[in-house]
Amino acid sequence: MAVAIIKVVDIIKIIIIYLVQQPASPPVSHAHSHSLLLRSPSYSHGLSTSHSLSLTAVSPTSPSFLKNSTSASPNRRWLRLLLRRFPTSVKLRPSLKFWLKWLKKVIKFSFAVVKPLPLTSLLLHLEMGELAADKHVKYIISVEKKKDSFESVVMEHLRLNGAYWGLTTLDILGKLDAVDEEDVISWILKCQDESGGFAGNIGHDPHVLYTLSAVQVLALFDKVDILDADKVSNYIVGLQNEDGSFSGDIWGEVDTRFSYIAICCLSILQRLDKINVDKAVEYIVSCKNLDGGFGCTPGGESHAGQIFCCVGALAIAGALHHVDKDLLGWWLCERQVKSGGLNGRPEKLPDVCYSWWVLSSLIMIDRVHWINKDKLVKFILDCQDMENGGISDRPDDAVDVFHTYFGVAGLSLLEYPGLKPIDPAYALPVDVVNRIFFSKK
Amino acid sequence: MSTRENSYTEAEALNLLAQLERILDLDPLIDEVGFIHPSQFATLKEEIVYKAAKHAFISALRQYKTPGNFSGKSQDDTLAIEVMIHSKALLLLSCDFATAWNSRKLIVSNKRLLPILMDELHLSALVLSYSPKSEQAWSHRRWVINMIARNCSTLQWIIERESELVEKIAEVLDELKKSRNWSGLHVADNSCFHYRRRLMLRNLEGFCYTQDNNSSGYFVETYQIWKEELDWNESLIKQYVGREALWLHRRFLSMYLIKHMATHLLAVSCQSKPKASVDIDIDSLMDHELCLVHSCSTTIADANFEDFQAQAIHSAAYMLWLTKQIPEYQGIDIQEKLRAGVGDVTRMLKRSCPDRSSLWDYLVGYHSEP
Repeated sequence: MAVAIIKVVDIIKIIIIYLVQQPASPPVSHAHSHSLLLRSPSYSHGLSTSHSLSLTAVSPTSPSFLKNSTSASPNRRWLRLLLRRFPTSVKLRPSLKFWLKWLKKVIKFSFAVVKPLPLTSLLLHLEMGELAADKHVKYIISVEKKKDSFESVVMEHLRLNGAYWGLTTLDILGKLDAVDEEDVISWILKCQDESGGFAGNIGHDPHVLYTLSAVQVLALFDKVDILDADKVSNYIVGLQNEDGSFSGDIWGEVDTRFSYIAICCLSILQRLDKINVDKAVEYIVSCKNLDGGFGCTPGGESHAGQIFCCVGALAIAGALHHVDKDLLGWWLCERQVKSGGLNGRPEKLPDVCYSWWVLSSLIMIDRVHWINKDKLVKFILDCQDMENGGISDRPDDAVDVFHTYFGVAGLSLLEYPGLKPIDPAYALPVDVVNRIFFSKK
Repeated sequence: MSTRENSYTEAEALNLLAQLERILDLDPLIDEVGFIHPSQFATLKEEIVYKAAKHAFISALRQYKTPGNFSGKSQDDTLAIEVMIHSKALLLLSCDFATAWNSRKLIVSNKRLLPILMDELHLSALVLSYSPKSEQAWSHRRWVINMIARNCSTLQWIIERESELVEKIAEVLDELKKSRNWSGLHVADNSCFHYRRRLMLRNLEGFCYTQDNNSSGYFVETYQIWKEELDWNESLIKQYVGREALWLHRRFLSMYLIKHMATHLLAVSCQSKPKASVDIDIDSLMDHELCLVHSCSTTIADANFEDFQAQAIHSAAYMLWLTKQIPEYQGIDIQEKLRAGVGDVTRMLKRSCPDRSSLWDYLVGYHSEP
């Protein structure tokens, strides 16, 4: 009898933990779909009817996990209280009947409200760690302040990229106010070159890579209008070549990454009409390979990073119909390895940064259900440094801001609780993107 | 740090920088650089040397760029040399310092002499010896090679004198043969198989151009090359169990062979008699592929070895790929053969690769549509 009671109580505990960790939400990335659909009709090419049904039911601000709480702390408290009242000891006296009645009620409630998951997924949720959000915030702020160590000194030429990674992560974690906005903005403006483009740091040469980061960071602070949008866009427009491709700077290197940067940046500045969009799309399509993927130049090997750039650019330009979604989706989902992590191309090791590039591509072409999302979440959480904060490329490696950003952004795409939703094409929080396109001009 | 210590280390820093630059200057044939694992003190020195190098470089560059009152040729040259020396030292400490690479591009583009361009190749090779993933170094190299190609026009003219097409084709076949040995030793390197795919496509393009003259003979040769590649791929698959890159290469090969060769065969046999001596039988090709898949799938019983399991999964996915790629007009028998195997394959895939069960379901659903 006593053994039976223990077993029953254990089952109840499992169900309670399950309820507590899995917020009631539709199985579809509705928050992302909502913003995508509103902005550009092209996204709807990829959205199936099930998505549109969920859109009517849920608005982007209602899901409970968007309430500003750190991952599961209030829920953890409730669980602790509950368990204290029902400890797993043989000393329990209530009869089996009472327990069974209560169990029935709980099961009914859980099946009514929450989509039942298979047992393996349940157990995975039990094993999974937590996101050490506070630690990551502390880590990012410490990196921002530490300008004099050899490591940061040697990286100073791309500090503007680092600012984007760090600040976007803080915004996703809801802690953008931890930095001095004026400090950051005045430093960014000093990075602008007379050509209109931005450099990686003060006194360095301009390049589109840093120009995009500058515009993105200003967008986080809703200060894009302090820029002379025409000046910045002229810099980018001047870098488009005859075949529609874009160079990175005056030295002429061509890469589809720069096509993405140009299209994304001009879109944020609302000057996309200044370039020849059709030609740009034509060039990107010429980089499509037989496996459905995209390379850096025509004939270049398919690579997840390049694929993100091409798919993102086509999405923003309203040209996603050029993508063979089944073929590309197949190639992308084959990036998931046994550990649950994603690699960038065949035979390579998994890396947290691909959680972003592969995942956002899959979302944009609406094939994300072809990977195992729970395993990916577990992989990303395993890459955290739980003591000092930050995320590394794979478990037990050294952390850096780059991978911290991609890990957190990936978790946001996977709808991890407590994180702001992020737009897969613009790589900025959804509310920031909506602010750009839907607020007063 | 007291100010006295500061000034001491500054002088020391400049001294170290001068030493580094002297070493580089004395031995222009240095082609490899390695760094000893830095201790705490060594790291401190590195940081100081870096700062000194950066400072020297920036002031030299500023002087070079501002048009001076006495901008005689000799003055320009000395300033240019300063920039080159300091940028070299800086780049060895921080290989992705793009502004330093750009300054070298600026100076070199004013001179455009072959020896100077070769020097740039040398420096980038030096940097890549210890930092092979340095994106800026590779980018600089590409730029330099473009400059050489654009400015050494005599070379191009010499090449263009030969028959262009023959030259191109011969080069492609040569390259395919040469790189085969290397590829065989690097079966997990997807890039090398991507490169082979590009070569084979280039070869196919060549075939299209020569469609009119002696087409059946050339067609046979091209077909042989593709068939050889397929056979070689099969031997590697059997030898190196469970290598994804090999199976992905096979997807491409069989898809192209079936789709394009078959159409060309139809066109050729209509045009000329006698028929090509090679009997391209799509049926037997498919039979062969199914046999291969079957032989790899049966090893799934040996679940202790991850490689064998991977082999089975890859071969099963390959079979689903085939079913999607076979065009309808290939004949009912083939379709039936494929359909017969698909059920088992899907069941096996769902069992051993459940993460992608949505994909397997989708593909099978697609296939069963009439």
